[in-house]
Amino acid sequence: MNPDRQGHVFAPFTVRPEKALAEKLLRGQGAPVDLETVPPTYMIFLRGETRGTDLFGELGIDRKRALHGGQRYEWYEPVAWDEDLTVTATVEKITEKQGRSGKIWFADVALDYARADGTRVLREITRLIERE
Amino acid sequence: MAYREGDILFDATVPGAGRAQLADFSAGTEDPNPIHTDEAFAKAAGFPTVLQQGPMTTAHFARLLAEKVGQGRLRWLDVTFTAPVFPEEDLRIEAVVTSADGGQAGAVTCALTAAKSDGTVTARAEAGFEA
Repeated sequence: MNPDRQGHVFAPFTVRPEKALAEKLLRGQGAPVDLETVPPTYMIFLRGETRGTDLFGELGIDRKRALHGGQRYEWYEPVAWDEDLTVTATVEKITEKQGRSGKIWFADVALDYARADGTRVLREITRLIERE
Repeated sequence: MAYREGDILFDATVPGAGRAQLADFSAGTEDPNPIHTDEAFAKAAGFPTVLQQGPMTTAHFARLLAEKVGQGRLRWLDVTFTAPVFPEEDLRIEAVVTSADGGQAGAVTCALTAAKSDGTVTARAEAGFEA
């Protein structure tokens, strides 16, 4: 992992919820396919990868040595199906610890989702781990 | 609705997800990581088989909470993944109220766990919602 990427802010990208993707997400988790509302965790950092935010590449994380440590969602406003949201990803913190079998790096990346008028509707923090 | 500390919000078992479900979940979240779908890649990474996505557990937590309290009342959810989940492993998912503002309307917090049938805890979480 590249510790010097702490504080890095990625170029914003745009996400509009898609029912076809939400249906796969719900089927994948074995949940009823109810598309009345956007599923609460539809928005996820992974969507940035297909929209130009190369999180793993930028942080220098090898997927074979990567683990997902956790996630945090903060919901401020409902998200509608026809709504384009601008997403800004920020590498908030990178820490390094010495584990029993080598170094372990922890990266907290925050993604802020905002409407066109600037209203923040959602904050997602993802916690990525890389083993040496 | 009034909630009190110690109230069990839900105690549910989510049936194990098979490989086809893992592939759907990866597609639905635009997750390009082969560790969820490619057996050889998962083994090269040191695991016996493909891994269920951590965010699938987050999605279970959020869905069950939304069903119980209403999606519009959810304020935050903070999840830590503590052990890998493999295909077809059932998860018991529980949520217990940890603070309820004296039973009055307002902010409620709860603790959530996901555990395999052998008791291994695979995720712990806290969440907050409006009563």
